[in-house]
Amino acid sequence: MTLCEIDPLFSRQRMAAEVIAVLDETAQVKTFVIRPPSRWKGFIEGQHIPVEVEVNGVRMRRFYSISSTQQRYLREGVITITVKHQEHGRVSGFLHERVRTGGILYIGEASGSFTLNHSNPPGDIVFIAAGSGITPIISIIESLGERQPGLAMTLIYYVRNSGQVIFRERLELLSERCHRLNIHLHFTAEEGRASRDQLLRDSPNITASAVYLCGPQLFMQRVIQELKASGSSSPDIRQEHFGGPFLAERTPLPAMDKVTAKVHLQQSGREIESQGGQSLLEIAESHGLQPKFGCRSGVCHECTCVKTGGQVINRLTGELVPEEQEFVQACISIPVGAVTIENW
Amino acid sequence: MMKTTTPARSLSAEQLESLGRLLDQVRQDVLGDLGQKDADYIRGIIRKQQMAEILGRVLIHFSLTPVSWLIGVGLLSTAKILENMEIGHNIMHGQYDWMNDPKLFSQTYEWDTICDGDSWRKTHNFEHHTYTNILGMDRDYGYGLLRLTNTTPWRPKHLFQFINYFFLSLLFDWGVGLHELEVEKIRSGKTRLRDKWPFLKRFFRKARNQVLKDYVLFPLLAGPMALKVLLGNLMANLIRNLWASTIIFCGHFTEGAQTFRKQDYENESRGMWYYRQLLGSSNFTGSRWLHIMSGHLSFQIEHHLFPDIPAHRYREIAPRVRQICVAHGVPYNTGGFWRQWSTVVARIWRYSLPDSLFSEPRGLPRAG
Repeated sequence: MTLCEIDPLFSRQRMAAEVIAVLDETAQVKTFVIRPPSRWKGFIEGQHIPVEVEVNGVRMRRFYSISSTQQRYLREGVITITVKHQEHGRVSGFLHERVRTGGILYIGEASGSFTLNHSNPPGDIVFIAAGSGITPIISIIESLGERQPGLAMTLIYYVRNSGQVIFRERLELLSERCHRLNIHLHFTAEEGRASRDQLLRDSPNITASAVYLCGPQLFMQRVIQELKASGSSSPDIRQEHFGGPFLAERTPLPAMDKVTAKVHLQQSGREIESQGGQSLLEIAESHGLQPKFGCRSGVCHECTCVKTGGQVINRLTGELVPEEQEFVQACISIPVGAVTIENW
Repeated sequence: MMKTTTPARSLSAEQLESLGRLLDQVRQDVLGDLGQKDADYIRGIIRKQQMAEILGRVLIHFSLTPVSWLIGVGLLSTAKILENMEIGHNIMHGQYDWMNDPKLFSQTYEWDTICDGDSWRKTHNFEHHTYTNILGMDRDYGYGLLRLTNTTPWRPKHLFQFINYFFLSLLFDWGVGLHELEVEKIRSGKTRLRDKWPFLKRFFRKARNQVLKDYVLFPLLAGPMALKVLLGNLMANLIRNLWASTIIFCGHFTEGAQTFRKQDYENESRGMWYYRQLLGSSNFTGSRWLHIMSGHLSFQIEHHLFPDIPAHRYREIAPRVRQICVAHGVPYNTGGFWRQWSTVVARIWRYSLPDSLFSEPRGLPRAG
């Protein structure tokens, strides 16, 4: 047979999970009930999994929070992910339009530190979510509710309007079952954005509570600002950020020699700041690394490295390389913003 | 007559700039169009190659007649040719890196031949494709064995270079595997054998695995029929060798494929680099299966312009490339397979003899 040895460094575990059901949550949100293979190692509520799909020949990976509990996984062997159809989102679009019951999703092991901290003072747990940021939080609350139905919890949940509420039935069921769970639903289209008065009204003790915060970056920044301004003691906040605009949509590209970046080299554990439009290869070399290289002009691919996060500009064309492109030629790739290289 | 030329001298700076711009545009057009059909194409070829290999090996193992054994050898040869030329060579160039598929990733792919993948990536992807046809820098030019231009001084040993050519072709996988050893430099004292130890370690490991697979493991599996399997595998490897070397020789050693000097590379612009690739490479025409079985090296010109564009796309861009060549007065070296190969043979023969015998280019057919 063909000798197709793959360096374990680059091989990502490819675990096929069967799609058991696809449920509509709102017009733009679907929940996928999937059965991970037996070698999948399990998860803790609040963690996320990578999901890999192939769109137009390109393998793309996104992380989605698990929106179900360990208890359900142990009982039925299934987990769920809940996905919002992002505008122009190729992976979420693919999941919404192409994935059906009986299909296959490729997943990876769960990871993430947005989990319940057991040293939290019991009884003072506040969850704040916006939009699809509810997904990791619902699994934490459901799990807690099943184990300790009497636990005092507060959920403050922001959505644009009532049509956007995800998990409405599960939330209603929870509030019936857990008598000390307070759910405060806010429609930002009517009430405006989160404010400190509102947060304090929903949870008077919030500054002394353990706070779990999940939503878009700007939403979380605002909530943290409001919380810090409202109390003398800084609250204990755990956060998970969701989504994020693509670079290309956010701002016009700066001139190539004005580009700045922060490059994280995962294998050597380095964090390198760069400016002046240096290529990945130049950046690594100027910090004492000696990656393999050849032509230094974009021909031979000897310096090709594995980019697992962030974006780069192709020096030859001056154009942004598609974000999902993982294998990039280091000699002609200028990193923009935060970039992670896995194998350096 | 084949001559060493300076690319920058024959085209003006403006022409080179426009050549570079137009070829860059061709490249961008294909890159922008890559998608499902390219992914399906390479996976389809891989599936066919695997079927051919399994069927070939089964036939070699279990055949009771020489005919079915020969069919098995034919299928295994085809599988090895496809794997080396249309799959391995092209994947290792990074042609499918955009798919993010670790199995098709250029830097970790390992192919079914003696040559270690890392060694190939260094000597071929980097050295040969960067310094194409620059004498003294591109060691693929004659492989340190053959005299193919009058800028290499004639020695009596060149009289016998046709024998060298024959054995190089027959044992091509071993020749390619040992290419990085740079025997000619060790002989002339430019490098020492001990500096080549890291390479040799990799070479021995890969060669051992290949030998074990084709000449020990599979024959032993056949028990008393071991010899039949060993012979079948040997035949398949030799057929692959002859085929691969013939195709590859047609890429740069045809009549009219030009060579360059080290100074041509200094301060070379993108346009000049393209120009050198155009002058140094040659195509041959043929049917679709010939293109696939040559790993699309039948489009050597397009391959050298765009080594990391999926090779099955070369056919559709070739007319554009040729048009650009015509518009800039750059020769586009192509012809039928047999015609191109005969000029290779003529060239090897011609330069095995001292130049004094050929004051005029009478011994060779003229380029069309």
